[in-house]
Amino acid sequence: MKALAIVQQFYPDVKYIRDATKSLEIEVTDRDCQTAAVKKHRDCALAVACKHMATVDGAIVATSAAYLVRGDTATRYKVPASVAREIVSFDRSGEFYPGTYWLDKPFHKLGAPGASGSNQRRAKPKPKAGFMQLRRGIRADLRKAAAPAA
Amino acid sequence: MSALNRIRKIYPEVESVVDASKDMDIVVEKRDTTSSKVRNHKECALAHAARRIEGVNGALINVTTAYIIKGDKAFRYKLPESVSLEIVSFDREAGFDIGEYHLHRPAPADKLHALRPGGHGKRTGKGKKIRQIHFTGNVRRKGDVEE
Repeated sequence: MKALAIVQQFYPDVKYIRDATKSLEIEVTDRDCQTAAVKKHRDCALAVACKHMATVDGAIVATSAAYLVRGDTATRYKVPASVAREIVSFDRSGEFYPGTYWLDKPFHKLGAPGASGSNQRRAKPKPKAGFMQLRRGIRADLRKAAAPAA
Repeated sequence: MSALNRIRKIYPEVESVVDASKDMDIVVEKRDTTSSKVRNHKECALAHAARRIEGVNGALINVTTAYIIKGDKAFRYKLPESVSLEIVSFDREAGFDIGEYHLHRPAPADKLHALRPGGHGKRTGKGKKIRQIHFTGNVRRKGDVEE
């Protein structure tokens, strides 16, 4: 599912998606943690903190990407590992540590070819595909998340 | 304090620390999560699971690095993000998901005694603003190895 379709599930008014060009500093307070809801992309502690920012109309926070909605445009950010850990902890126990967090500008841009698209000849045989550990007890994958009631 | 000194506080028989040359798989079972202790490098669920592997005498698990003790050697592994997430969750008493986990051998730049860049330039105060680092709270700390 494309990024725009994902965001439109939550905010149908959004028409454009763009990548962030700068990192963003976010202050999560005790109050944000208390008013937030677990396993909710739009209402977790970080999303609530984002929505306090003057120009932000809405936020969608997943474990690896975050979208901040301003008018009809959603800006995509990369969620760093330190924030992903807090999100997993929050979804499982409701505990999100207040403090200053950062959302990064994405390294892989929207529409850019992925790392697997290289046509360079491989010097070594391709290694055996590893298994993937799926995380349980946290919010659903954004691509599979059902559209919440507005 | 060096890695070897920290490890010796718990496993005095260890003589040397080496980077692992191969990845390692660890299966965490239900019994590992119930018999383990939170915020304890030696007694967490992953350490319990590691000790069930043949030839492993002990394990010390940090948030991003693990030391697996075999005889008088401690083998150093890097933990992928999926494992770090589980450790933070576990230390905050939110559970450790059972399943198969993968410890990585350190990348060349992550190896012990690898040269790390930075810190040689003169600070002028005109460059990029230094970003505040967020430290994950309420989890085990690198220096707090309990005996």
